[in-house]
Amino acid sequence: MAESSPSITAVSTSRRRWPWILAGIALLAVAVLWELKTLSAERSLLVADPDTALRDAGLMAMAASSGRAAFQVNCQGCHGAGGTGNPGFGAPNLTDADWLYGVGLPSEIERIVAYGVRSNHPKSWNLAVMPAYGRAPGAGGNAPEPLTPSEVSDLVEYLASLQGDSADTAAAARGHAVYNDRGGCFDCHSRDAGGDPSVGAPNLKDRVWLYGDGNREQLRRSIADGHQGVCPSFIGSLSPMQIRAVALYVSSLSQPQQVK
Amino acid sequence: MSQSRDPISAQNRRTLALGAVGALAGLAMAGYALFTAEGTSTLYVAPENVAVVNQQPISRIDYAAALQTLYAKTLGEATTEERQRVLDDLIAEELMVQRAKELDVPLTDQMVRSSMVSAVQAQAAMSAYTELPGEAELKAYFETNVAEYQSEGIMAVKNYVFADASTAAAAVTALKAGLPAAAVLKTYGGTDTERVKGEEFYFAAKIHLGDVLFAAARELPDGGISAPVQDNGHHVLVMIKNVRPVAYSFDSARAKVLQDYRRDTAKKLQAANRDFLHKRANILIAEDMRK
Repeated sequence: MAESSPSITAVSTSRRRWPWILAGIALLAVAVLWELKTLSAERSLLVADPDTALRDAGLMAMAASSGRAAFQVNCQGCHGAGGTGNPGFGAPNLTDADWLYGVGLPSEIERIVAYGVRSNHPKSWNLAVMPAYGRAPGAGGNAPEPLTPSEVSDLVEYLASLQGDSADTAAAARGHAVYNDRGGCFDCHSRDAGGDPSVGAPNLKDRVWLYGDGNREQLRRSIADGHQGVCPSFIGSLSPMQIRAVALYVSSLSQPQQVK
Repeated sequence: MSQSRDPISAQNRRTLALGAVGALAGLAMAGYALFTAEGTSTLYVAPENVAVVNQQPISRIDYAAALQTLYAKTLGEATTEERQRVLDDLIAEELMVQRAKELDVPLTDQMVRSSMVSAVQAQAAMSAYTELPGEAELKAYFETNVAEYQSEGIMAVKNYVFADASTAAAAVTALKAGLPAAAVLKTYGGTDTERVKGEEFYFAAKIHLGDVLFAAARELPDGGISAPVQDNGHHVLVMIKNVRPVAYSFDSARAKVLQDYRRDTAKKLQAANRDFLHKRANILIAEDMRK
């Protein structure tokens, strides 16, 4: 039997390779197209107005999966798996309509995710802390002037009265005076105790408590010992797309009716 | 008759073509990476930014924050003019900052220097706030510093002062016998200093009484009467109410423990950063200033 010539062998080998080469090119093309599609989708999410993105089903589908994943890794340690918060250490509930900073717009949440609250990032929210009114000046953080134990007790009665709870009327009246005068509480929490979202001062009459459940002992401790909770800055650890996605995911927790 | 083709040269052409395709793909990927990697010089505005000023990006987050600060409006609420004004302002600010760097403003402007020091200190400490310590670490910290986690004591105390040790001692005997304070003061020529007015936190009582008298007072039970205490006069303390500090449990003090843990970690990081900067710096000190 005659042996095949080298040229014929080369041609048949070449013919066998072609499908593999074409398959490789096709695979590469699919990978490139997939990457381009992902980049295009990420770009759409980033250039979108975050405050209207909740109503865009396509954007929210991407934000929800990416945002949830980033939330689970970076946020749920404090805010809990469902975002319901932890009053044991002042991690706010993210599923209700009560917001410390702003009104819960995705753009506001995005800023907090990026720069944090008292995170030491120069752009973090750092306008106010809850002073320790029952500690020596300088020991508990920025107390303007300490109060006496009876003034603290009066303030507790005043706060209880704001909730509609039974309270010592005379003490609550004295507490109201301390609130508006020596304590300087009105400066952050506003005259009507409704809070001030521009400095992160909580509303004191809505029965939503950042620390504890609003019982008198917890209120006394909050006033006497102060608070300065921290939300870290994630601008260095999450990508801009992840930050946007987390903001939209968190926003969707409290406004599920807005999400398309 | 079909035209025959040289299979070897066809293979060479194919090899060259595939090589060229590979080279082009490589170039495309390298180019993409070059123009999109963070910190590289680029003519491209990444989607997370609204502008790039001399390679310095201005982020959409900062833009939205500036819009909120200037007009109290969101992106959707702001007019085109308002949005343009904010963009112009941010670009102008960035240009000024860059010019300030060229002019070495930090060398001459004390406020800028102070801000830069604060910013570097804050940056060095940031990881203390980014990383959440484990429960075991927090508990260990709590146990090491357990004295820090207790309520502030409260006291209401009377402080009487007498002319000499013998009258003070006699006054103590009379008070312990149940005589009213006013009568005792009248009989023995004492004075109520009124240093502590009503109930006071321990720290306030300490300031008002002074260290020596406070140390004596804090040991007294409700209704307790001290022995005479010499401290710029002969004092007798009568405790009306003494609420001693109550230790907090770890769970109830957790927020404060975390806060203190982070503060201490931040201090350590800042100290390490200072050491690092010292080590890598070339610092020459004048002969007369050397220790």
